[in-house]
Amino acid sequence: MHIDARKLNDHTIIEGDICIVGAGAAGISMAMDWIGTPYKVILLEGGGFDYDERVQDLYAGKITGQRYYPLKSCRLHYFGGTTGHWAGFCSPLDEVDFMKRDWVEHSGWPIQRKDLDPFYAKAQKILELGPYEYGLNYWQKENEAMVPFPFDENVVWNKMWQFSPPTRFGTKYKDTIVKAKNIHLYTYANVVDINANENASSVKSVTAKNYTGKEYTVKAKHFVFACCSVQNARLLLAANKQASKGLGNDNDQVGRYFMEHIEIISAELWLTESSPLKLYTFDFGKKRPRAELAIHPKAQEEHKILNGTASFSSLEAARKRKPIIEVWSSDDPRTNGDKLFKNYHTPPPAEVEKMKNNTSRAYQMFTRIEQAPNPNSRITLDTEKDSLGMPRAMLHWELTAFEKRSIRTIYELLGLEAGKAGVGRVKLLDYLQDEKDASWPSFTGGGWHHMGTTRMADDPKKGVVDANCTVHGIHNLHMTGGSCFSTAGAPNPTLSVVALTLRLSDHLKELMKPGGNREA
Amino acid sequence: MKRRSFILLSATGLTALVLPSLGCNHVDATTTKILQLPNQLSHIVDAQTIRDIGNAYRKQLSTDVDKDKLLKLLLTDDAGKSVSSSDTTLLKTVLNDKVKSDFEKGNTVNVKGWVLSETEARQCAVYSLTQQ
Repeated sequence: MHIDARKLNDHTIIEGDICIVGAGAAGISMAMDWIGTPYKVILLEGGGFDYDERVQDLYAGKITGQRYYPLKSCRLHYFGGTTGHWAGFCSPLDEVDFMKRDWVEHSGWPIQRKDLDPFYAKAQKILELGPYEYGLNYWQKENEAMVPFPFDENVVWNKMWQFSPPTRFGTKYKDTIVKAKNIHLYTYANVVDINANENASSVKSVTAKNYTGKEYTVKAKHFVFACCSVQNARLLLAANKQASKGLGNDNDQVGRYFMEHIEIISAELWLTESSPLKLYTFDFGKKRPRAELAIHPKAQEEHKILNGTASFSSLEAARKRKPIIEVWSSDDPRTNGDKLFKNYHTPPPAEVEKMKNNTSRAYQMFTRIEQAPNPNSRITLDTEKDSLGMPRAMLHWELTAFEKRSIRTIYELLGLEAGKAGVGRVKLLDYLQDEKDASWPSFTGGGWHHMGTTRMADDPKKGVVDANCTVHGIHNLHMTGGSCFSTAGAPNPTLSVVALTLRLSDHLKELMKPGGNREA
Repeated sequence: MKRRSFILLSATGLTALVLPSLGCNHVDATTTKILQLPNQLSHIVDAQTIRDIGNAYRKQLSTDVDKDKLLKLLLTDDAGKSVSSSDTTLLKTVLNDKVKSDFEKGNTVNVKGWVLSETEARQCAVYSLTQQ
């Protein structure tokens, strides 16, 4: 059922078994997983069903360090969350992403890829993807035109992607949520405080507000924060009544290790023979799976580099497009969305097709690479407050020479393989040519993929949540989404966000069973 | 990239440009023409780019490398033996093999961003010298 919190009386007390804060991909996926159970699930969404400038403004915040997109327009603050403008790129994290890598400081998750596999399979359905198959062989059987480069498989492999329509959770699952008897969706219920017990070992309630000036208290046995990395950290840091540094922050970990995928044009591939690269090119708006080139884990270890992938676009077309960081510059996500769509369609699709057919000897290579976990890349609180009285978030995005060296090495390896196979030559862009230059060019961008800030670690001194996404020391407070990622991996995070959330959901169901830890 | 213009140049008018500048012992113009033509790369980029790569590669080298030395290196096969320059077909094969071997062994250089085999970088260097 749906309740518009603006219509409730001031100081209303809402009670349930589970309280999910945030109705984006993670929050809605979790709520749907509880439909038909005997439990009352409270789903709190700060916005309504449509864009509302007054609500969106709550996400505004300052940025220091590396140039970044305006925080206000990075996320969408209404039912469905940022799925309202995502592109639908999906691929699971690799096994190596979960491993402790000696050459990547702070790497290693307390879980492994196999722990997420069953939930990835479930997430595929929610995101309207195909089967949970990401092996090239599987997709080649579907489409013989998907021919890979003849590269050494011990150096380069083909990481497959599937594409969601993309699923807009706000429209796709609105009826499902609203019609579910045990799911109580409250829109315009912005959580502004988390109220813990005296010694901050459990959460009793959360306080929600909206711009009518009304305030509500939500009580539950378990609380799940699914507000994405910036807001999850912001809420914990701002909840400082029982814990002066913020809840779950005894070890100064909350907000740290903010990670993005560095997304940047990096090189050109010049082929000796023209090829449409059917396996590798992306047809905007179509669901055809494609591959990106990735570096084999053994080669990553040998060269001590981060995990990243390279994708291809017609060079002629790509050169006419603006860097994404320049396109996505407005505080208004709708304006940015329009500009981005226009940029992707520059030149027009028909012209691109013509280019592909006639002159596809040259391709632009685009990198998506994990940011190394970095405690100095972080979310903190500003002294400035938003209209509901919450301190605004501040982002300090900090990249290092490690990421840049990794990108350079990836293209040197791809250049080596292209030469070895005789398919062509790779040319690194100017900014990658000087090994001593650790600076980043003005067109460095991110994927709007916010990760870290409440990272997963067995040791409370190294992370905020444990392997079950429960905040260390607070047994009924759980975080989910990208904020729990210990490392970022290379792929866009939505599929992993949903999978991780479904895993947490399973864990909570165990806790809620008779004999489980039900009491808050 | 105007690759066609380079291939055309290589096939017809280049000999005339090369002949006066050849000072290398025992390497005639025809041989030099083959040696300074990086086969795969010349199908990808134009003559100006080959020359730019050649100039940049020479600057990257720690010591001065003259044309004779470069030609000598190019006329040495992968096993370190001198290659007869009289058989142009064989010479082309040897050069292609050397390029392939360079990539397989990791004997690559990064010149102006291009990931090239050392052999083809040397070929570009020879070309840049003959064009001076």
